[in-house]
Amino acid sequence: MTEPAFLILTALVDQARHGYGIVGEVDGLSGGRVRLKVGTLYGVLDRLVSDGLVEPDRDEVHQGRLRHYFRLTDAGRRSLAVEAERQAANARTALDRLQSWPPASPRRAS
Amino acid sequence: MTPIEQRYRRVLRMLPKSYREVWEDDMVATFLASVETDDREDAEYVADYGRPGWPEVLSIAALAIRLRIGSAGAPARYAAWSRAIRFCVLAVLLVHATAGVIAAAMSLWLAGLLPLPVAAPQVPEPPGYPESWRQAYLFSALVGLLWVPAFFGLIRGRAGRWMVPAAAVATVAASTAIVSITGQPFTAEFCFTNLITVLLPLGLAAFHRGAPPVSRRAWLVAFGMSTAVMAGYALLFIRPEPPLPPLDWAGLWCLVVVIAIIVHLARRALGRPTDPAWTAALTILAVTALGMRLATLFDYFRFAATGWHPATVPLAIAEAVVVAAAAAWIAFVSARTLSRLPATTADAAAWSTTIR
Repeated sequence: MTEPAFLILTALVDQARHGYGIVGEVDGLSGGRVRLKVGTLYGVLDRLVSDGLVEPDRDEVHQGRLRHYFRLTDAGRRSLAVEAERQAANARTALDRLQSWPPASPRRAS
Repeated sequence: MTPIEQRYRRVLRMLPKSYREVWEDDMVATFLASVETDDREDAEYVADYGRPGWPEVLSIAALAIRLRIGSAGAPARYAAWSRAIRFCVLAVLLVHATAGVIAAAMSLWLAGLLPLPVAAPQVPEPPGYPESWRQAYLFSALVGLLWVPAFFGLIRGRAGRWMVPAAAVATVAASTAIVSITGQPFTAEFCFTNLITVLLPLGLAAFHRGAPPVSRRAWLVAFGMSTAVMAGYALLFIRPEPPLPPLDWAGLWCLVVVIAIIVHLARRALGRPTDPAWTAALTILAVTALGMRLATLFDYFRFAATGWHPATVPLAIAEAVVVAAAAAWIAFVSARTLSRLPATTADAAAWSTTIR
């Protein structure tokens, strides 16, 4: 699972969101590191929809424009949980190794 | 509609119509929300003079390419295009890999490093070349062998894809080095061949996760046949001294493409099953062969020196005419065949119905 897909699924865990809502939430979740472009967002959304991980929720009119909301499906929730567990296991392994193998003490200048 | 919205909708025209029908308004709303500002003056300025930035445009361009050639579950028409691009990439890789094997074998033979029943002839010293030209040519020929693992890696699966750009970069660097070491002029053939080599890795987008596996056996057979044809051509026609053979490299591939087109169209005419993707692939390959033929013809006229057979230029003109006619014919058939394939999927239609 790519990072944008992971973050988009995470952004939809608590509530359904529209396109720009997802962009803002992903920006916040990643601490400003991942700023989705519109083409990237809809490319990933399209794939998530065809994989059955995301589905349409409702339409709302905002400032004269129709906004489509998207929500996580049960399959999407399960897929995100599996991926999050995998990433967490990898992170735990890396942290354990880092703690077991501290950096060598700097050599004293002769 | 504000000017910035008009500009953004123009950018979205890169996307397939069926996709725009479902997503365009939503994408526009998301984009406009991303450029919104609380300051009224700034908002008016952005609405009148703002335009989507390059990263935004590139993200749409990447999506447009992916939807047409690199999308799992794409509509039948785009799926056929995706297969056609995969066939073309594999065909060009096949040519590179075969030529790499033959060129390396010949170079090693001429350098006395590959013993064959026939003794290697003495290659005359080209005037003006530096002493190191033999080593440079041998090194360049060995670099061409990189196409062999690139080809076999790609028919094995997606994991070997990285070899293609690696081989492309190495080949362009080696051929450019040869030109600068020997002081040769940059020919149209050199530019065209390297352009194809540089564009080749872009076609890897068609080898997406959802793409079906490549028919290994068919491509292995093609590799064997292609190597046999190339070896036969090299043994029969290539001599270390002028004149070069009347059927040159570009002519050989024009001939192969024209034969492939005739066989494909004959199968269609006989009612045998044919993949529409091959019709599209042969169109692309015919146009590529024609480009190569015209580039070499341009060189023949530009460098009207000695070195080639008197029949080469008239034959090359005839080949250009024949391959152009074959390209036009197969392009017509391809356009007609692909236009009959649906450009939307049941999924897209369902999504569209749900969302509207």
